[in-house]
Amino acid sequence: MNNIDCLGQVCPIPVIKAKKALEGLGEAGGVVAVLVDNDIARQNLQKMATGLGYQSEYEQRENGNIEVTIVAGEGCAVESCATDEDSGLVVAIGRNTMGEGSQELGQILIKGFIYALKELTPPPTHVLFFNSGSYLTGSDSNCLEDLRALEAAGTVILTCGTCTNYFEITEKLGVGEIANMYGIVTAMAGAKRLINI
Amino acid sequence: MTYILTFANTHKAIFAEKALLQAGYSVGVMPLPSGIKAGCGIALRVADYIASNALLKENNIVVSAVYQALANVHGPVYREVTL
Repeated sequence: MNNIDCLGQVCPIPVIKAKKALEGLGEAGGVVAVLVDNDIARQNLQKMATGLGYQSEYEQRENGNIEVTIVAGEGCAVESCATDEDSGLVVAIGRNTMGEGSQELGQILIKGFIYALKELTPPPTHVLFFNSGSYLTGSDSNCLEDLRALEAAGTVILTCGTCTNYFEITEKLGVGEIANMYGIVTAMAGAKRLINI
Repeated sequence: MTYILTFANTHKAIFAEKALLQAGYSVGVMPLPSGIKAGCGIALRVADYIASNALLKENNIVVSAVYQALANVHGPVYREVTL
């Protein structure tokens, strides 16, 4: 067991440390336990583990700390959700408007764009929201119904945690999950095609 | 049931969305479905088209037409609803 103490550390530090420890295990594999004190770090660690094909679990301790255990190695890989029908399409939305010119027009266009994404078959594998795009996944966004339909169709909806923190809207997240830059870059790097708004 | 409101131009669609949101209505935006002709490429989705239309009328916003989306094996079919 490889224990990593990440108390007091915010993402992406716990994810980077855990990934380095997992790489250090080599082909033989093993177990990495990461101690964190916030649930976003726990979520990101588990997302990273799933992305690498490893199983993970966590235990919430009485003092509020969370121990995330990642099991790496042969025979530990979780089944990938990927299918031949995956679009491999990742959509990155970095603002709450579409195009240059009128902000008012751009704000209604982006909503129509998100609706149209919902109509794609197969759907995008990921839709990523960052900077002012983070407002679109908030509980008061009127894109929520369409984004939830996308999520139900299998699209992973990720919103930049640094951005929601900056805008103080982390608690208002209405759909999908909070991700760090590591998760955003991993989704982009794994894309067959990327649409950048 | 979702109803689709169409408008003569984009400004009317934008004003209509704002007016409906400010009045607390649940409203969605969508590109104008290819089976429908209207002056504006943006349409709004509402649950209660009668109340929505009444509110828009109070705000001097004219709705061009209202459609109802009906499920079909080849995709939705849009039937115009008489206002």
